[in-house]
Amino acid sequence: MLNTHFRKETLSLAVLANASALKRFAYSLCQDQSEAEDLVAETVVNAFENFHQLKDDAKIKQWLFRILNNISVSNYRKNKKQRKTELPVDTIIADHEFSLYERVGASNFTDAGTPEKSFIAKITKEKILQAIHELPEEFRTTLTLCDVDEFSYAEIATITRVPIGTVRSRIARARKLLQKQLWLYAQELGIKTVQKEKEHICTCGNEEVKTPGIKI
Amino acid sequence: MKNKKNELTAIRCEEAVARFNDFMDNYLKGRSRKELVKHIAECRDCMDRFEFEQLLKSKVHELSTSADKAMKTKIENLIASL
Repeated sequence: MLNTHFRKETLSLAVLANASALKRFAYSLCQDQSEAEDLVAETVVNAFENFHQLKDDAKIKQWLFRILNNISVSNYRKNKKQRKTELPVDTIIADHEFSLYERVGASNFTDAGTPEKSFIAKITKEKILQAIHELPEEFRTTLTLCDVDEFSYAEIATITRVPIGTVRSRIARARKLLQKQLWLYAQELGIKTVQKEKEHICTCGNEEVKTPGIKI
Repeated sequence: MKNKKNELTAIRCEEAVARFNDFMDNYLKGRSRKELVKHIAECRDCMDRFEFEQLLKSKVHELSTSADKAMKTKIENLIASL
């Protein structure tokens, strides 16, 4: 009895400590504030009903996120609601070749320090958030879990029920897509490419042929 | 006698950049990790590229500091009603 009470207290504390993170994850799944709050509420109720199933209290955060994901998938199947999951095809093509570092380096953006690093310093939280929400669902959720809430690849695989290799490739792709989106915002502010190509300067001596940078 | 098995293979910049994500996420282990660390230490451009990627990752992580007080209050009320 005492143990049950103690575990419920542990669960309450964990839920409250992760309230913002759970809401963030919920929003990344459904992109609707009200629906996200309902998802978190459903998760809390479900967690209290099933907390006896949690074998390892050290994994409580991961467990809560997994419940939330399961409820979201279940609701999605029930409602067959169309979510914003697609980017225009032309923004997806060749994203593996995109490098924000190279774009900024070849642009008219100048600063007293290194332009690439100054560029990062000038991006606001709001723009980062906006850029993440422009990504297709599987990429924005994986990126949120990895880079915002610092789950490991293995934990993300458990939460989202996909193989670890898929998590790994989604993270790589999500980061490229995020960079592309940030570059679009930069262009809206008048930052543009001024060099045709940023040459990769290799100083390690391992390059047989100098790798060309981006082609614009 | 020097053990050739322990000698690290020099990797090219393209390969180094391809390993950045795994390295940042602590998923790159053993020999692959050592090869990348060695490459970054010797290649200024890859070092700059890597720092850029890390900075951007840190910037994204800053979103975790945004607290949703309204959500927390809702959960407190919900827990009290259970």
